[in-house]
Amino acid sequence: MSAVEKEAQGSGGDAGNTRGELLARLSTDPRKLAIERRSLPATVEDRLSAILTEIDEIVLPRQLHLYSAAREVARLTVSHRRLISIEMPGRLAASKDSSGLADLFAARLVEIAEMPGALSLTASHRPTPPNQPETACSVAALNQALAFATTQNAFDRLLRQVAPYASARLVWSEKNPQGQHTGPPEWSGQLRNFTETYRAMGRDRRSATRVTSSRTEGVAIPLNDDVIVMIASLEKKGFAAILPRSVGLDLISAWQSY
Amino acid sequence: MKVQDQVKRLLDETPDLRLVAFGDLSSGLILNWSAKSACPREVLDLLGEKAAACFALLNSDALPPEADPTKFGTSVIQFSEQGSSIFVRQSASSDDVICAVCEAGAGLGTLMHSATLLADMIAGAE
Repeated sequence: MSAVEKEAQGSGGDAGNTRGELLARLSTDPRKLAIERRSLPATVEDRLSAILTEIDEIVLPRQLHLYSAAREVARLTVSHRRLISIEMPGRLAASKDSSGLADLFAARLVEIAEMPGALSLTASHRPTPPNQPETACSVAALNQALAFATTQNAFDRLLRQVAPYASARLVWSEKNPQGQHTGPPEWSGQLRNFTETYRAMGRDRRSATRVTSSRTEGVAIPLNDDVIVMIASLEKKGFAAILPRSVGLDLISAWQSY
Repeated sequence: MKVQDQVKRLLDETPDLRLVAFGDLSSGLILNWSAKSACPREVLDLLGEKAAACFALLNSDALPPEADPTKFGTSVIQFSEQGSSIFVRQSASSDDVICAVCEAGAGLGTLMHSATLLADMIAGAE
């Protein structure tokens, strides 16, 4: 145990231990940081909390690597207890303009936390300080932005969670009951067929699955061993989506665990 | 082993399940069930109706080109924020159905597999 750690723990009580743990973490040899991979909790709220805690404990420039299974899904650059950037495969870097940065970061953090399956995290030393720390976001600002980002209703949240993985989607609403199709046109007819049958169930007063229900409900129908159709609705809005089977089933569990 | 015993065994062996039932789709009735807590008859009646309604979604006359005819129509999951119900039958023409009601957040892939094994076992025993 280091002298710093001993001194901190010697100050007594839980607060002393917490400060000691923090000081020990800050004094960790940067080369050892990447060795330890930690699993993140299962629920979105707990995942966000764990990531924010991590950011809040980092003073010297670090990169946080987030993994889903063995694949790196995001890289966060952090310094002086502030989030500087989030890199995600296939995503454009955030604008250098700091206005709206907290909202953008919050949206991306939610997207990461909502990823189905297990998530893990490692930290690594960042040899050169980030160029533009003035566009960084404090944990307090992120917390404020996240409070808004996570209060969406259950239907919107499910649709948002499904969107990145759907190879085709049909989204309908009260204003657009015919629905908007996105994805390969060959799926359009099939999604419309499923949707019409599903919505017809709601017109049957005796139906046990009322599509116009005031809570978000849905069905997942396996087409084969690899693909499912997911249909979900809330009152007069809904969607049908084609998803990889394992991802679709994990998404339902992740959405329910929010 | 009796159907009732098989249903109870799946429930006992699977922590995330609240109720396992065996039903008939043509009548929409639950015939055997086992639950971790008391279950009113109305809940079972609704479950049977729900199973029949979910399979009615699958029109085998208009089979999607991507559908595997041996798999399509054998299973449906109905879900809400409160939990999921897995409905599985041995073939798309069978009226015998296994209904597995699970906790919110339960791993559905594993539970579907377990329910499918039970449906196969009961079909094989007949």
